[in-house]
Amino acid sequence: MVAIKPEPKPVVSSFKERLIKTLPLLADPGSSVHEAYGIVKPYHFHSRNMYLPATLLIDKQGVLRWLYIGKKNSDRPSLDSIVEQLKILNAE
Amino acid sequence: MSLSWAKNMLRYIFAVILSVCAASISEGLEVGDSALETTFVSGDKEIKFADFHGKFNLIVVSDTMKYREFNTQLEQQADTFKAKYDATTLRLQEDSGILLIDKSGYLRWKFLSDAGLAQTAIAELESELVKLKRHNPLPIGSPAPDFGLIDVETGLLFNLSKYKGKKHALVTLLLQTY
Repeated sequence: MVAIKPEPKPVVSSFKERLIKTLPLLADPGSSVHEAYGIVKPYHFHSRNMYLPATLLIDKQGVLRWLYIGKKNSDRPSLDSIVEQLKILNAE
Repeated sequence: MSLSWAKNMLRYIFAVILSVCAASISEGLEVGDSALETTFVSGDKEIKFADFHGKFNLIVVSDTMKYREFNTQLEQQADTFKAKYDATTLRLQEDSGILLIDKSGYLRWKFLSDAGLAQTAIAELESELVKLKRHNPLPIGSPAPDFGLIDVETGLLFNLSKYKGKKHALVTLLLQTY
């Protein structure tokens, strides 16, 4: 499990100190993961993209198996739904 | 006289060090490696990847005869690549091949080949650039694009590909702070 924040390392480090204590937190200053997975919403007002929160499940073969895109940071999949997806993968 | 000789000697040593560093750029970096600490040398100029970090996807290419046709085609596409993929070009005097480093400092693609394959190289480059910038969510069942990013606590590089064949990966993408 990892968390990725699309911002420079100093900003992400301060976020880690304040909020995320248990997950490895990766800095993505170029938002390259959001863009590579298409987790973006064009934000025409400022002529730039808005990077959305999301949860991805990638199987051992490196295939994207499940994706939940939230509308805001608190919009996250339930723990039960994640566990259910993991059970499906483990049953294969 | 001796001071001038010493200065020249120092300049020579510095130039040798720079050329050794330059020669190692394409050989030392493999797809999946972090280029965050990489310094490119072009003539007597040192250019740090850090200058592009978080701003541009960087196309590094040799400004040599071998890549002349590629460079000509790249020049014609430069505006499009910049507008569509936030890509900018860095030309080096050494034979570095063609490298694509994403904004996060991760080497995504490397093309080392003889001249005459410019069309193939441009097509491959654009296909890699497309992968870097999707506007719709990646369809379920697609190969997951690899990434290599720095863990802010340990400072170590995390590569998704390291877990291939070993573990499933649950990745949480957080929101940008506005």
